Amino acid sequence: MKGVIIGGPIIGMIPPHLIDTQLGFEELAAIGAGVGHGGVVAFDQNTSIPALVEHVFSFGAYESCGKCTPCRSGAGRIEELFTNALAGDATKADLQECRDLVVALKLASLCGHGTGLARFAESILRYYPTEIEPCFK
Amino acid sequence: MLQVTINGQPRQFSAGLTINQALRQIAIEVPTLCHDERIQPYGSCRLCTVEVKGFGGLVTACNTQLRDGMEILTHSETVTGVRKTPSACWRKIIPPKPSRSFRKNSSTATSANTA
Repeated sequence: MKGVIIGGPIIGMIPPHLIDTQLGFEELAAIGAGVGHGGVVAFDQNTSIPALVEHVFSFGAYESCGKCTPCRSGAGRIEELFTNALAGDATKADLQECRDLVVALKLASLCGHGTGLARFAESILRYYPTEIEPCFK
Repeated sequence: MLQVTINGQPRQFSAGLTINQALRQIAIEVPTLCHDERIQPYGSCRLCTVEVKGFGGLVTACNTQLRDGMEILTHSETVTGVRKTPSACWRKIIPPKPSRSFRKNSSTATSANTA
């Protein structure tokens, strides 16, 4: 198993080594995840984490209400950057741009949609760096 | 009167002001884009975000009411870093110059008027 998302998709992903974390609000928040709506989605070893990021941010960009700039523009930009990364056309500067956009989503979003996207991205960058960094050359 | 701290300096303001209105009274300017004095604050551009100690993230100065005891940082490293990101987003989508003329007598304007 590659990981689990509880209550997502705009919430932190749980890597296998933290699967024994107690299913509670404070416990999951401490590892960057959450309870959310309580639905559980598990990803097997064949899951491409960069493709998952592209998928989640495609969803996030589509569902954005469009009011605040970090979510309206940032979510779509992160989707675009990961589309480029999957095509082998992304640089380390693009990865830094992703990190900057995630910080803006986390701190300056109007609502939980943007901050949730940031929580998802933070968990990916924290727990799956070896799957993300090689895509940005 | 409300007692607040702005960039480490204690200040007093009347009640009923937004953070942005209070800052302007003491000549501290935070950048804005979607703000206009003629309309209600909207909080869309997120350029005017400031750091308020005790709040989880940043708050928009244009539509956040000033409260007694607030400790506000207007140009902290966190805030200035976050402000650059929305600006960068707009620079990517707004062309440096118009792709066509918007002058009244241009052929484009003429054809649009007859459409």
